[in-house]
Amino acid sequence: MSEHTAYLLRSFDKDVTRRAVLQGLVAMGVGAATLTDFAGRLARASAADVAELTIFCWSGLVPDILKEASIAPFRKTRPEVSIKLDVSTNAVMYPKMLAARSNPAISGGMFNDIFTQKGIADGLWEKPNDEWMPNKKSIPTELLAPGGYGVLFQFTPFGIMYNPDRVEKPKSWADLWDPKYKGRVVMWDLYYDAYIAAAVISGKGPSVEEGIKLWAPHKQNVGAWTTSNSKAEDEVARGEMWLAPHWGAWAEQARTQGKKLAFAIPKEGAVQWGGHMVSVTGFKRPIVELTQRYLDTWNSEECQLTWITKGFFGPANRNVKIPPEMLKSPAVMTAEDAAKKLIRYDVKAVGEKIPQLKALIDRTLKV
Amino acid sequence: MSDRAERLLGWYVVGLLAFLALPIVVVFPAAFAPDPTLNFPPRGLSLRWFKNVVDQPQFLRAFYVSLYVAVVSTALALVAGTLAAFALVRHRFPGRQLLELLFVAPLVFPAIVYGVAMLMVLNPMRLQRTILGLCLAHVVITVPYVLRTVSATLHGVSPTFEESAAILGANRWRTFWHVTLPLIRPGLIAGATFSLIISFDEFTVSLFLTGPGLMTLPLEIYNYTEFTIDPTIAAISTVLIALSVAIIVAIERFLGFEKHFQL
Amino acid sequence: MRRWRLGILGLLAPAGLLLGVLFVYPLLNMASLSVRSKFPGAFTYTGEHYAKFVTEPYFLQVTQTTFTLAIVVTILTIVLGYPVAYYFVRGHSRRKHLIFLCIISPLLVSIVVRTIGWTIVLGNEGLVNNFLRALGATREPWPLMNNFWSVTVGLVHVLLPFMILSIASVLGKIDPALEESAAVLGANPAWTFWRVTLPLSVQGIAAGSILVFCLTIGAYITPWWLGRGKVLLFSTTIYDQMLAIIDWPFGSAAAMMLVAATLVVATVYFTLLGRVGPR
Repeated sequence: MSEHTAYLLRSFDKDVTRRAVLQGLVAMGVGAATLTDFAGRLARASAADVAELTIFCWSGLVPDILKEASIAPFRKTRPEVSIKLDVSTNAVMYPKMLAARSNPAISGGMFNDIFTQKGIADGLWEKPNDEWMPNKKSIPTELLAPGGYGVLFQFTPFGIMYNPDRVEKPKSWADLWDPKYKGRVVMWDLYYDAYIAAAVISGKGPSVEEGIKLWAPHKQNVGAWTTSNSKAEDEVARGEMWLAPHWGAWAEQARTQGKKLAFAIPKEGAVQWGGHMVSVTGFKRPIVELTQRYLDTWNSEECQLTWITKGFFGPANRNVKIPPEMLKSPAVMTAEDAAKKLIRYDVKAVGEKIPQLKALIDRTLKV
Repeated sequence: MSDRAERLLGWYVVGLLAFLALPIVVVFPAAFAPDPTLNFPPRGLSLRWFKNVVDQPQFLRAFYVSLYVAVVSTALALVAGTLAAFALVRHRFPGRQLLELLFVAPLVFPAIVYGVAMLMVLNPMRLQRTILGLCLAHVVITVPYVLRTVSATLHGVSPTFEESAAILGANRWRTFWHVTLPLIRPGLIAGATFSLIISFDEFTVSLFLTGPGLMTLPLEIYNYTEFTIDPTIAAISTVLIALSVAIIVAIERFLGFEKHFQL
Repeated sequence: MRRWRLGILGLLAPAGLLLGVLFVYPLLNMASLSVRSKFPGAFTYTGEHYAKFVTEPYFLQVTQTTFTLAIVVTILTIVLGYPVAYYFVRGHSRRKHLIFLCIISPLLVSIVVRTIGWTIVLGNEGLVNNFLRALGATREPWPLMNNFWSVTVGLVHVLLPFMILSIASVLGKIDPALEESAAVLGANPAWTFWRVTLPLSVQGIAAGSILVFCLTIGAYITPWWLGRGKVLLFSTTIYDQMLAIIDWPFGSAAAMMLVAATLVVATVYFTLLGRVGPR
């Protein structure tokens, strides 16, 4: 018998057992997947009396803050409700919700100004009911989002984050245009607050288009574009980049985590950024009521205090007293101060023009 | 290959492998240093990042999910891809080239659009956020790899082997199982390797088909790094590499590595 | 005749059915989106999204950069990877499993770790620049990151394993006796390689190339993290449209264009290969 045939026959012996085992595993695996799924559905169906809310929130410190200062107190009053947190980012969660509208899973969550406006335009949100959200009364009206569908629960100023070992504290928004910072500035690719600031300091009012045009001659200062807080913070902290227009709360959070960062509000002022809670359409009325009652706890005094102390956010609730040591941070200010000092812009108009604005940035500043 | 040629080639290979390992070598030590910014060379010694990984149960849960999905999708992709490879390589029929293109298309189609598309399709079927939906999506993504590698190997296998076996009396099934399959083994192994790794690492499509209660490891890592980039991820990567080393060394000891690659 | 046909259908059924329902159908769904003026909401049918690609010079540049990158990366992986595949298969090392491990090592670490690794090596404050500064060669850092070449390096790094293993799995099937016979007949090693080994391994190079080419075109994460928005690619454009801007009609149109262009290239490739490969 030839060597090749002998080899073939030898492999026959071992292969039967091995391949049979593999086959069995695959069958079991697929079977298990289907069974687990089915069992899960059964479990959900029989537990229909217990309401389960799925709420969207941002990552990092947020889930822990919510679990401690919002979910725990809420469950004390309503122990039959269980709350699951879907942790993600604005830019990812919004498309997911849009794609899943016919059968939504998430009944409420937090979004920033722009995405809240987008949701209003796309008809995704449910109107907040004053009866279910009593804490809403404590929010200064100047800070509320236009359109009435989102309820503010925190805010933070958008200023300049920098590496204190490499550069001096920036005093003006125009410092970002200093030629000695060529290739050392990180700009946000998704949001337009930096352009608004640039337009305001040049006397053109809070216009994104004007701001982009003002940045055009200085585009070589932009060393990198980012779509995540953490990437910008990492780059500035390791000295690759030196300056980044950024939000005070997150810059301060990163600083307390041990990164080499500092945050400053230029003399011309900071732009207002707000976090809003939204209630999603497509659910039965009891679920909407439960969701809104739950979301309202984010504005309770206890939760607001946690937002301030752990997250360096400004409180939406004007009745919350900010601990004096927190006020030392440039990122933290009272709701009244914010209403007076922060630069505001037409979020609705910007939200509608995002494709055009992005196209303008791409063609003006990136080529 | 002459000895001298082999030695020279060996040096080149060492150089290239060093290039492949470079980013890892540079980041790996940071997992053992206390500095929250990953720097090289690292200063100090600390296991706090490993402790951080252990303290957060979501990483281990996600690891199991990723592993399960990777194994199941690879198994299904191997079956579907191998069968299709046979049809495309061994037979001629109208529309063959079109099908070849179709089977390559998932490689090209932007994952982000596929993710949204899958969510829009699975959502009315109530399959979003289920492990079944996730596995199916992963099979679609990994089948092209298996198809490519098995086809490539199959091209080099002469049909005379199968014909001889048939002449000797073996039926179709036995021929396939005991003659053809061992001959295309390198293609199957390459395809399986790609498929396992691609599925385990898959991020963009999984982003849309997961949620609380069903998270894969790349997504948990992504969520973590959205908040802060610190050596925790270096610690996770270190663990994964150690695991892979252990698996490969085990394969070498118990099954014999070279034999399976027919090297 | 009919049984034969049924046999082929049976072989194609699993993969075909799966891709039909879970790939072609979602794809068609997105294609229908791409001709709408707006989503969600009231819309009219329009070809404006497709028209943008032909009319705006910005997209011409995006297309050019994307395909240039794909070609450069493919060629580099072939040239750099083939020797490794050859050594892996024909060499006499006893540590083949460790070599295998090193080959797939880029794929075992997350993209974030890889990117930080490259930042540490190539960044303004990175190893390379520190080395150059120590030599006194330059005072300003060399911008090695956030450009076309850092993206190329990153992609080559992560796609080499695919090329190497594709070539190796075909090389492994070539009977060494063929090369030995050539040597016995008096051919020198270079001739043997050029005229015997290389043509026989073309299928492996082809499989690897189509994988690497397609993966580069579709790659988003690596180019985004290593190009940091300064390298304009099709995939990053599509990503922006789908996630940040949420202009799904335009994003779908871009995706269709990208797939169509790549499939054209793939067809050309397969046709050429059909003429070259051995049978």
